[in-house]
Amino acid sequence: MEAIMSFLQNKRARNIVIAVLLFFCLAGIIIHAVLNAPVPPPPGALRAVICKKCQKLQVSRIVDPQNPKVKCSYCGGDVGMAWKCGHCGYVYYVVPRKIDAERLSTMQRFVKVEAMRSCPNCGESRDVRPMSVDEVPGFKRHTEER
Amino acid sequence: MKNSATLSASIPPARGSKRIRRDPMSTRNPFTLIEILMVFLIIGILMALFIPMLREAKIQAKYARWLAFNRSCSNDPTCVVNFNFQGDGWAFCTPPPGDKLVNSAAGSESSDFAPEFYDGLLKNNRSPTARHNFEWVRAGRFGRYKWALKFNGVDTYVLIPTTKELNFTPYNGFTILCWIKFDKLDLGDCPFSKSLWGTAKDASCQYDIYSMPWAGKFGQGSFDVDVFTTCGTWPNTEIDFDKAGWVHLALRYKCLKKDPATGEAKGQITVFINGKPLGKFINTTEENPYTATATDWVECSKRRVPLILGGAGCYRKYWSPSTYAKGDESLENTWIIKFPFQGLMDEFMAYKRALSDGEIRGHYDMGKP
Repeated sequence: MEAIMSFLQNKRARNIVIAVLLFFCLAGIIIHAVLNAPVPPPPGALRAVICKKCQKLQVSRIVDPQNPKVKCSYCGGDVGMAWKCGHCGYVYYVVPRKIDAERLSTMQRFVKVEAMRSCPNCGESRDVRPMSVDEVPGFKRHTEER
Repeated sequence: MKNSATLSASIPPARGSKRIRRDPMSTRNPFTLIEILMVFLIIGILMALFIPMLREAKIQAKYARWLAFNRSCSNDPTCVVNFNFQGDGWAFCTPPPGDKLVNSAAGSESSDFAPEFYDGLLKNNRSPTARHNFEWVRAGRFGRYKWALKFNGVDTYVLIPTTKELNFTPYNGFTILCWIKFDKLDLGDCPFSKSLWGTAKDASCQYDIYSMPWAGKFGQGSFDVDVFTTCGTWPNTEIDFDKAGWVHLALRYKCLKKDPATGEAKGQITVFINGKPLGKFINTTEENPYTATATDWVECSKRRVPLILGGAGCYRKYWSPSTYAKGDESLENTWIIKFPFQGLMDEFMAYKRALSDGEIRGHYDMGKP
């Protein structure tokens, strides 16, 4: 009891203890806030991509299809968006390029976009589509992602 | 005299005399370092507790304001479609809305109108029976309080199967509003459309809007719209869509003049971004008369082409001949989705009248994050 009384009367020691307690309190609040902060969902959408080097199909979360900044999970090479030709069934990647289409009508623009995305195997430009993640072998989206 | 003054200054004051008061201008601190530190720590604790709470309260208040406004819009007799992307519930933190967008517009005066006919069905473009590939994310305009639908830019689209109240004509006005967030503006990304694109000689469109990257004064991107047989491009939106986050997009068509003799109508098309009307557009139909935009709009009504969110409707016979069956006139065989949109959407509304500038601005103000 005497020790406590002498501690309480010692202003300097008492203040140091209170400051240390307050410091830990603040640190605890900040750590709690950081750990419990709502995690935003990852940006971008799940897309089928194909490696430009090893040609393997895979699924990645892509923000910018014109410039997918992801690497192949097998060989580390660059990837491109996977497209499939409905005419010959060929799977390929689209090389994006800038299209000057500001003063064109809708159909003219669509034709320019088609030309950029045409199949390199048979030249088909309309019957082509981006590949769905459902078509990537081994990827089970509905069970793994949701 | 001089020596006695020096002597008196060095003698300490006698006991019992008045204490010398401290000079108020003295730089000596009356508090110890530990005491000052304690004050700072207490202020820090209070800020760490209250700043996140204030931020959350502000988001909640904005969400509540938007929800109340959205609900009042549902009672507008001209509001045909109102998807708030919050499912059936109006409360905070509702569960994921599921496999359809519930239409809450209930004020229409049409005798055969029922809101559920205009519910949005989440679809997979690969096959009508396949499970959709949408993702519901709690990352709408109001953070974790608002659901948003993630379009993947490949095979996701929302189908509004009933067309009657959405078959707008050049003789009436209409307004379509939505809140969207582009992952990245890509040429042809189409947030909504009611169209049948085919060839330069065979294309029908009632209305659509799609993105135009690299356009604009600074190459930051712009929009192109097709309303009936007019194609318009805005050269400068003054918005960098890659950095803008959530964007409020509104397309309005106002019928200005109708010639009863010929049946021709003259209308005004305006696109609003974040509540502000974009200036004059480039009429690319007039600039490119022989490589037309839509050749008509009636075909869309005749064939009951539905309004879709997240892509542009196109003729299957031209765009996917490998999946087209000759002789089958059903809509599923006639029509295919192209130019899919990648990004988020968390509100969509369609009115069968031209809203005023102030009303569109009001929609933006009430819904802005």
